[in-house]
Amino acid sequence: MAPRQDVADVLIIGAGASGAAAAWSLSSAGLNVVCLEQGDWIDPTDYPHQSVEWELHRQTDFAKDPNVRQRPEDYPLNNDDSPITPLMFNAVGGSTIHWSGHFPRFRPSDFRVKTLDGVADDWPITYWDLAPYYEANDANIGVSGLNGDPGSPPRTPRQTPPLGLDAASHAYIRGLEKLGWHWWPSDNALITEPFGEGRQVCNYCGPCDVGCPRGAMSSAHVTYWPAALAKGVQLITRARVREITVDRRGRANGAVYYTADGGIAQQRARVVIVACNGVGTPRLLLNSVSGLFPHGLANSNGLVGTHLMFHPVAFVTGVFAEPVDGHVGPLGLLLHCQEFYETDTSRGFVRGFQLQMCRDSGPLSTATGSFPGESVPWGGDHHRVQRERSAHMLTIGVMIEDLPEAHNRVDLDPTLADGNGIPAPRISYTVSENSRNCLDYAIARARELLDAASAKEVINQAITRETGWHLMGTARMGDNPATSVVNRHGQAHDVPNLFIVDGSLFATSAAVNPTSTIQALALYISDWLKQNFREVA
Amino acid sequence: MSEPHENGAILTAEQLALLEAIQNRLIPAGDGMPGAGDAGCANTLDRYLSERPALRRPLFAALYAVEAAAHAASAAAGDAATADESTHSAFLLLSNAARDDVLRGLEKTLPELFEVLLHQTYTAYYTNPAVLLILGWNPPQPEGYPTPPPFDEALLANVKQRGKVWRDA
Ligand SMILES: Cc1cc2nc3c(=O)[nH]c(=O)nc-3n(C[C@H](O)[C@H](O)[C@H](O)COP(=O)(O)OP(=O)(O)OC[C@H]3O[C@@H](n4cnc5c(N)ncnc54)[C@H](O)[C@@H]3O)c2cc1C
Repeated sequence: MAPRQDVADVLIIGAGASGAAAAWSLSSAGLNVVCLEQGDWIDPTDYPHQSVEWELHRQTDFAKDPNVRQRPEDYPLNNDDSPITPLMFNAVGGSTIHWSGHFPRFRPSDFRVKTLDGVADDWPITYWDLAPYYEANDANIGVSGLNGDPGSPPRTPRQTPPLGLDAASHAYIRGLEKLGWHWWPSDNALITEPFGEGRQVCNYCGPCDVGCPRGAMSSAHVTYWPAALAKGVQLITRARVREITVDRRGRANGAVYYTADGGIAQQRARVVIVACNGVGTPRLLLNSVSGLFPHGLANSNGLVGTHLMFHPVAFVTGVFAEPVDGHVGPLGLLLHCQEFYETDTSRGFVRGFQLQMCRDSGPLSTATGSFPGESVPWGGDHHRVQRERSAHMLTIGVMIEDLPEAHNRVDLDPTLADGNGIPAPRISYTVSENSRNCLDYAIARARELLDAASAKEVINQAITRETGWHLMGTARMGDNPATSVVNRHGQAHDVPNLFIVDGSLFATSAAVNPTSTIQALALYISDWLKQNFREVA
Repeated sequence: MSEPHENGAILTAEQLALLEAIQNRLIPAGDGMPGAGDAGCANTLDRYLSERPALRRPLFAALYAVEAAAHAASAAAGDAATADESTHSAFLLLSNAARDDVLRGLEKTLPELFEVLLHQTYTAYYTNPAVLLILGWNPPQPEGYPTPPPFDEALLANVKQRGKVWRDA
């Protein structure tokens, strides 16, 4: 093992949405930051959008499921005991390489569910603590949208205007207005007018889920990373961390990692930040075993990996008589409806859900029924049904709040391992009764909406497996060291110079996409660390 | 995926002929569209099999199951010959209606194998340049699609009028 001579002020593990934001923030304060990332840069010309086989790439080297994609930098997951498959990308930019960029914020009530609804836990911080960081993050990366949504607290004008009014929007708005429900053009981490350097505006090509070759999506590799590198952050790619190391006092002092050629190296640091996402972070902590921490780092109370939350999702698809051009425009971005967001116990469940108005995709997606969950029939009827569905479908993503439960967890698989022999994560997860009731109610509302939008046929899935986009809760934040892994500053209760900045922190999940909150938290925690660096390091 | 592929790298000529016939029933010619077998999707699957070895076992098993069911169908019908002389395939001797029966049987009894056959055939068909040309699909880039008219805030009048819907906390 050849130890690096230099001791970084801060070592960040993971170059995704949260690691990038932290790297930028800390380096802006003049700290010497090193980041280790197991993946590499994705060359924009590698994206499949110009190939006729782009929909094949979606099933192979750009698949969302690392078990399917199997790039050398991916690690396998054992998902046998979960009805939801965790999805992610491992590269500079992390999962924002192929995310949808739907960018809503949590509501104030999301941080107070115990007080308001008597369930789960309150966060140790409030919406108002994070509000300035939500704003700063939006300004840093560029968000399109329209301020004034009565569904959440006021915010400053968005950096670029909302997406335009297309056939899909008109169809949805028809239904929403008929029912008199809340709706608003969603905040999107995507630019519709020039913003930032080297980025082109969205040209409505459609499949954001296989990456954005134009840099229109405000993903970490085109926003924070260029800025962080300019401030001197050292980003080491193809560096897969095996474990975080500790000194005799039990303080983190760096990490051991595998280099691209399979060699082993060490990076030493005064402070270590873990940003490997809600699955990768508990995996790394649990694998960081030492005499002082025999059950994994920061895990004296056994909570690392527990309380895993996804947002259970069901796709509800409307087939329309007239074309709605579902393949035109960013796949997951349009409008959102938060009519049923806050608790109303008369519905048979606590907490609520959002309806995320999505589009559709190319002809292969239509044929294989990736949204309705039902293929176009084979045989004599094939061409007719394919024609009736292609460009005639829109899908609502019903996304519900998942409440934290200790038995939903990530731990280490006893046999499965990645290419370097590091134990793979194993997921154990069940959909709770509250979630099931909420999903059923939400599916019925989505069907009602598509009917009102005059869909001629509505097809729904009871729950959609390939939707583990949001990985949360596995190193929860709290004031009480007995019931949480990190404190309100993201600092491990057990290890004062170890911080976590990704979705693992979430005490509860809210019912909206998490990344605006993840990045706001990363900036909030980094700010505190900058102010307290001397004491912490 | 950019390596040139030599047809028949994995499948024998007999297997390619069988697969082509199956594919022409899964997506038959009609409505101005070619059948999937005629469009060359068997060779495309041969390429997938060379690129993704994990597909080989289920696909071979599906072809085997189709043949076995075709043999059984011919024998039950009392046909003298149960296999085509040049391709040794029982499926190729069946009428279109009987071929569909065999495939429906497979769909019912071995749904996972059938799904691999169907999914990979759909994939080959809807990523085939000639098919996409007829359907009028271009790759998403570099052109993208025209920008729609700007969002019209007047549409939000009712939502605004209803006022704030979030809870203070
Ligand atoms: C298909 C898809 C669609 C999505 N759509 C949305 C959306 O519309 N809106 C939204 O808010 N969110 C969306 N998300 C979720 C969003 O991408 C994540 O919330 C966000 O990227 C999480 O940021 P992160 O920094 O925690 O983790 P990631 O972005 O996943 O980054 C973690 C990084 O850590 C690296 N890493 C992990 N382990 C190690 C190790 N041992 N050594 C070195 N490096 C390591 C990984 O390679 C990876 O690059 C989507 C996700 C997916 C997969």
